[in-house]
Amino acid sequence: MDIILQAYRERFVEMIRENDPEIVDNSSRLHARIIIQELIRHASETVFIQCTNFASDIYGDPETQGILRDALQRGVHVRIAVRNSVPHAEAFANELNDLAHDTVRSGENVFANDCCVVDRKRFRLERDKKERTAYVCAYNPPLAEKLAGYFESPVNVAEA
Amino acid sequence: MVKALADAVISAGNVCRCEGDMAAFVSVMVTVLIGTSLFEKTTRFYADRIEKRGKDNLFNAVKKLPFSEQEQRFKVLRDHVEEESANFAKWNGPLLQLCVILSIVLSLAGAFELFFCLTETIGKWNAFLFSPLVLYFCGCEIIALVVKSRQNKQINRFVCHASVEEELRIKGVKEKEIESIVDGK
Repeated sequence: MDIILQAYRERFVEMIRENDPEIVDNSSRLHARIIIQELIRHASETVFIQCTNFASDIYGDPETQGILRDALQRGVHVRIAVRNSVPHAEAFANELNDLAHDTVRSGENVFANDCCVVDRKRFRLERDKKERTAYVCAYNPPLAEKLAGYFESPVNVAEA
Repeated sequence: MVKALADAVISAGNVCRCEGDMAAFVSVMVTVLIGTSLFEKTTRFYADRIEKRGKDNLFNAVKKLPFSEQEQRFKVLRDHVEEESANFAKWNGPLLQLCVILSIVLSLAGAFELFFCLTETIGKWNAFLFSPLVLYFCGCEIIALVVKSRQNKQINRFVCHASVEEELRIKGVKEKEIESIVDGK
């Protein structure tokens, strides 16, 4: 099983490096975690995340945590909006906020669907909340720019 | 170096013959112990190498699949990998045991070859060429090749199978659909 996930990870990294514009489906949590990890790992400027509860299976994972810490340390602007008032991975949310003020904002709904937008050019966008299916694209600046716009809109920035 | 090794085997045989029964016995025992240990370690090394090679093959085969296929076919892939691992366990266990038994027999044969100084009767080079050590390494290489070839056949079948399915897969995720989500429509 590790071989398959490792192969998947390497292929997605290749897509990021090659700025592959192919849009692919994602429905499994295992694969979603890999996608989010690699998107953040390759971020150079911004990471915007909208999620429902800052789920432990993704953000409680030590690898994801290390990747997010690294991103903050290399100066990437990270902003995570969590709809629920109490994030599931609460301890880590607090740690991130200690590292950089207001990185994780609980009770915030910037966008209706869960998403992760990186560097205004890559994204993972949930399309069906019940099925938890999502679209993933390693390079689509117009759509990513639009998504990032929600996080940078004066209303949302002012709330901060 | 090869010639020096052959000479060493012959001179060891001569020592056994000249120094009497006790020296010969000790020589046989030492050769058996060292030989068995060496063969066992080599066998394990080969078994690990074969398994690693198999995993690398499988990894490359999975990587060749279209990216979106990898998630869709995750269960199939997982079953395939588990099946392959089970095959390794099925084949490698008995193979390892067989090689260890063979190595004991071969090292015994090697020791007795020294003891009876067969090298003198069949000649230096023939003795070296047919020495148990050379036979053993050749045998291991042949086993490695057979296992690799067998696995490649399986992997090719698996990749071909995937490419047939690839033709059937639903393609084309529409940007418009994403746009409508992004625009909140």
